[in-house]
Amino acid sequence: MTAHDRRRWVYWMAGIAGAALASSWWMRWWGIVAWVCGALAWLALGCRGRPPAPREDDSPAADDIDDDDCPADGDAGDVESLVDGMLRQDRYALLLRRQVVGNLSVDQFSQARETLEDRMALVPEGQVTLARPDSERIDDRDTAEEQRFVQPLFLDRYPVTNAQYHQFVKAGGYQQMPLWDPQIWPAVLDFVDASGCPGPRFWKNGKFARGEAEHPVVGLSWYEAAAYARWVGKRLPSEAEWVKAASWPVPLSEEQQWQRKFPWGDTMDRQRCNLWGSGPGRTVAVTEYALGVSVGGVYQLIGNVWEWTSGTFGVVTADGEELSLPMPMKSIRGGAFDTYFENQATCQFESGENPLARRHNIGFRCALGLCDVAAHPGVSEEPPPAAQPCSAGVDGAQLPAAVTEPEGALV
Amino acid sequence: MLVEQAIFTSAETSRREGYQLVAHSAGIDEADLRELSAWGPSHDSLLESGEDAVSVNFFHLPGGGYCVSKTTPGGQEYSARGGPKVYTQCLVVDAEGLARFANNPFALLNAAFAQGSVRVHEKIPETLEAFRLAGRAAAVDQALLGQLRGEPGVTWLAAVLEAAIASPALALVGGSQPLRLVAGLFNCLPVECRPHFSFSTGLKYSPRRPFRVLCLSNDPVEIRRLARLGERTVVELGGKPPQQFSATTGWGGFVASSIAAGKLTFLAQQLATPRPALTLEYLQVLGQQLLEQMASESPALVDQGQGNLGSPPAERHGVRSLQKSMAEPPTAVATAPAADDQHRADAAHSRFQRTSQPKAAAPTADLPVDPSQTLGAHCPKALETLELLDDLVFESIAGKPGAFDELKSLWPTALAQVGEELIDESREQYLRHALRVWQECVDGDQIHNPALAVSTMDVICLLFNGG
Amino acid sequence: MIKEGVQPLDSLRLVANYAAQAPCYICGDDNTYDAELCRQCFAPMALTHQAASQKIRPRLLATIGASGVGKTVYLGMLMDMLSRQPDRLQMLARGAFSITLQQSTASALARGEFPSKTPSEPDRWNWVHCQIRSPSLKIPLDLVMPDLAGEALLEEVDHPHTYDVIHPLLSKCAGVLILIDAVKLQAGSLDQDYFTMKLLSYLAEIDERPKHGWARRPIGFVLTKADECEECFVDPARFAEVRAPGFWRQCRERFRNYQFFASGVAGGCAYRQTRAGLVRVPLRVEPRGIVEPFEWLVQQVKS
Repeated sequence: MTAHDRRRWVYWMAGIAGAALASSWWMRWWGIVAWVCGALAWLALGCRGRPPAPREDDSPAADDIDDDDCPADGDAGDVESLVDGMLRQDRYALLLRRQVVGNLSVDQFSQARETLEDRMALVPEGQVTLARPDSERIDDRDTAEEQRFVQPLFLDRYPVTNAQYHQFVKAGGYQQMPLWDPQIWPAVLDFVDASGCPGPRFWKNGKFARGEAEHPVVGLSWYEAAAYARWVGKRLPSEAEWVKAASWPVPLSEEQQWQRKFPWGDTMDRQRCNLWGSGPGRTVAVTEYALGVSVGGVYQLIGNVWEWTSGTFGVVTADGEELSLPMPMKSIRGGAFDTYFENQATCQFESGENPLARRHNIGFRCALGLCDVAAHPGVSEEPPPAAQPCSAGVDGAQLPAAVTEPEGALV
Repeated sequence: MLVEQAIFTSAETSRREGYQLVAHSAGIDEADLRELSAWGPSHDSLLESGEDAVSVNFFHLPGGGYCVSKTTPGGQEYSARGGPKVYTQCLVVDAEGLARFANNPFALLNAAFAQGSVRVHEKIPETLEAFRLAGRAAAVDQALLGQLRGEPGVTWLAAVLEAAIASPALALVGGSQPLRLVAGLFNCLPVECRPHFSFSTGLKYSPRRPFRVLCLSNDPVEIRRLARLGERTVVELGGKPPQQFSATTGWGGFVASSIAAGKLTFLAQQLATPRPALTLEYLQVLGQQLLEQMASESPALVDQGQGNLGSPPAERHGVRSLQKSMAEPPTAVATAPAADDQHRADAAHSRFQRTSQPKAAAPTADLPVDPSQTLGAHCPKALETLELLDDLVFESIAGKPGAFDELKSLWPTALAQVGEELIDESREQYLRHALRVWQECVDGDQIHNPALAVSTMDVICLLFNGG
Repeated sequence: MIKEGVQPLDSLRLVANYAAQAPCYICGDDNTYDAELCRQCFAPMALTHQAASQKIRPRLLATIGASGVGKTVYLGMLMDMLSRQPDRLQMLARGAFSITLQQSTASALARGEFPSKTPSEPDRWNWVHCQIRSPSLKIPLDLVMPDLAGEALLEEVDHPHTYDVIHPLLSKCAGVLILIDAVKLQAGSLDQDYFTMKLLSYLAEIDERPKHGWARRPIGFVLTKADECEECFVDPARFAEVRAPGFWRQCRERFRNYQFFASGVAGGCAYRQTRAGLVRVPLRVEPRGIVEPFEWLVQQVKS
């Protein structure tokens, strides 16, 4: 199937999904119809076969992933193999959903839980102070800061890598329209790599460059990041969650807390992060710069790549001046390998980018509310501390119906 | 009368981006347009940063006309870069036009402003039309004279006048109302002399805009910059006037005495009296003459005026000697440079001098003349001595046997015969040559040609000590 | 005897030095020894004094382009990058005045602002005198680079001798970087094309000697603000060919040693509403393609 054929196919599927959505408007069966659309698309892709991987000899850049290790969604013959496949695809978060967990064996649950704890760091609940842009330039800290309360969450220890994102691409993530915000469907066709295949901008023939499997994936838009997060049953972190994980506030009183300027403390140490002048001038593997790990055990919050968050980039500076943006922007944080100034690579510094932009230095990591992680009925374990419904996607990154109501997909 | 106009500001036009003459009326010739561009203030040129910042500027143009301009903040930079845009509207008038307003740029600007012709265009017009400006201005604003008596005060006014007349380039630092001060300065000058005084009341110093009178704020950065770059007489307003400009004689003394004595009408009459051939060179003499006249008519008043100045009465003998020199003013004026040359407001502008040389010779009043040029055919013997001296100096440096001995004997004679001033000029030339030779001989600690170095040093020693 | 002679010699040398005229390094006009700026072209006389005291003849390089194209940001950023990361090229500033541009640019960008517009008055321009060291250079290379105002350049191109510094500077330059606003080219504006054509024409006519004239001197075309049009980074030459055919053709026909580059400093831009109006600000600073054009130019100049 050529890229052009796939585009036509996606158009066709988008049309069906659009019609289904229209009918659901009248019927008010939002979740069901959305899921049906997703299933239709999935089935259709399954019928036509997965988009074949480009022939190896077509690709100047080879990847390090064995295709056999990556079963597509449609390969699930039974729950067990599906669960194993999902675990290999790092979609363990979906398995730990309240609606799904009852279908897992104790072993499967334990495996998923262990994977979760291995791949994600727990960020406890609590207050966090967010500085507005420019707050370092003014004296009045009251107007420069904003207090937010953060529910407990899990945050990826590492930015999403090329290898991880490759699973999503191979699984037809770009064709599964329910994973994408409906308003962005027309743009999904443009989310192609250098050779015109669906995928991040700097890949070729749907593959990343050799030797970069463990590098953070870059060259993708905010929507692609959000779609991936949904696919793995997670979401993008909110700004407050990201800052809390990085600066790790310590309460001093009811109103005040001490926050680190950098994940490792208050002083910039260029040995701990990949910034301009301290690294090789490009991305490095997500496991490097272990000295820069946060208190909670999260790597590379500062440097290597900017990270998309679910938040909207602020439009008012601390001194009351409006920031007029050429287009609505999403918040990015953390600085990248080419970030020049230290003051732009702090836990508090926020920048913005067009959510459609596919930059060479913006990647992402995912978050998962603690309340979204269920306990297994057969395992005696403390229930999650937050029993109330999860306020996932604080800044608007709501989980799609396909993820919040996954029973039909797994059972 | 017809006033041509032009706008100099930052904009994106079909020709280019940035600071430029964005529009002008058709009657300004190419040379004048280039001059307007050269003097045009660009980004961050205003001394004050507020929205009310303003500078009134005045200078002469190569075509014979004058530019009176007003510089203000002009809103936002088109390029969205920081800082406000600087907007300058230039009014270009010929000498006759300026004369209708008593050669007073402020009067002309006020009249144009009053009829709505001076304003900041929000949208730059594609074409600008010349406009008609009706009316005239009196030679003297007596009300302003009265105000000047209070602020900056008679003593300061006289000092500023003296400094402005005496200095080809003057900076007034720290005045609270620079615009009024310069307006007052103009008001206290005879009409014929006013065009000599190019000025800016609120622009930062730039050698590219060599205004004769420049007002600066107390900003230490600007003052340091002026001290480093500007070869200017600096008068810091506030405190006591500098001693060298404490005017009790000359034009400043006359104006100050008149104001202090309350003889504003007499002063106004004198200021307005046409003296077509009056030049700056003779202004001091005229001042002395008038001071003497005033003293002879009402000595008590003059003494009172001088007393109010806080200085002793004018030196009578000084007045007399000067009065003598003014006994035949027409003759004196007749030997002065042509009036056209004297009307230049920007004698210090070197580029302008070059470009306008064919049209007008440089004024002799403000520029020093080389002593050797005054020697000429009047003193052939001195010239001969100098030529011989030249030969001997260069031969001595070159190491010609016997030359240095001859030079040693000629040098005292030359000093006596030619005079110190001429010798200084020659000495500078010899020194320059000797230095070049010395530098060729000596490279760091190494001496390539010791004999030549020694002979050069001998000559240098003689030039400095032998006299 | 020697002892007696030393003291007068030194004092005389001082007197003689002061009396001697110092020729401006750029325009050659005589100036007094203590002049800070050349009275003719307003170039800093420190260039002359440094050249004399260090017995060197620094090569001249210029960064030219239209107003607002990013000359100050480029040059300031280049200086700062080379002085902070000396891996490829090491830059040592000669004289404190050479650091002013770097300092003002870097501090403005760190504050989240672009540096102020360069005034048209040449006495307010920043000049840089630096020494370049690199493993590929056998002997260090001394360079002088001014930060010119774009409008002054075009005024001089349109009306020669309006700015006395520009003609002698460009005549003596060993190479130039011509900056072109890639965003404006992408938006379809022809002004950048026309302005660059004018500059090329001016350069070609300044020195038409076949062997040493501008036809053979290195010219780097730097498409600036490429962070806002990323296709520029992929193939800057192709971008220029498509978007600015006029200067592209002129370049091919009149010059032999040129190269195209793309550069960007800000990762993203927004507008800040201030009392003075909207001001364009960088959202973050992540320089790309800044050193490469300069490195190429230095290699060409060296060879």
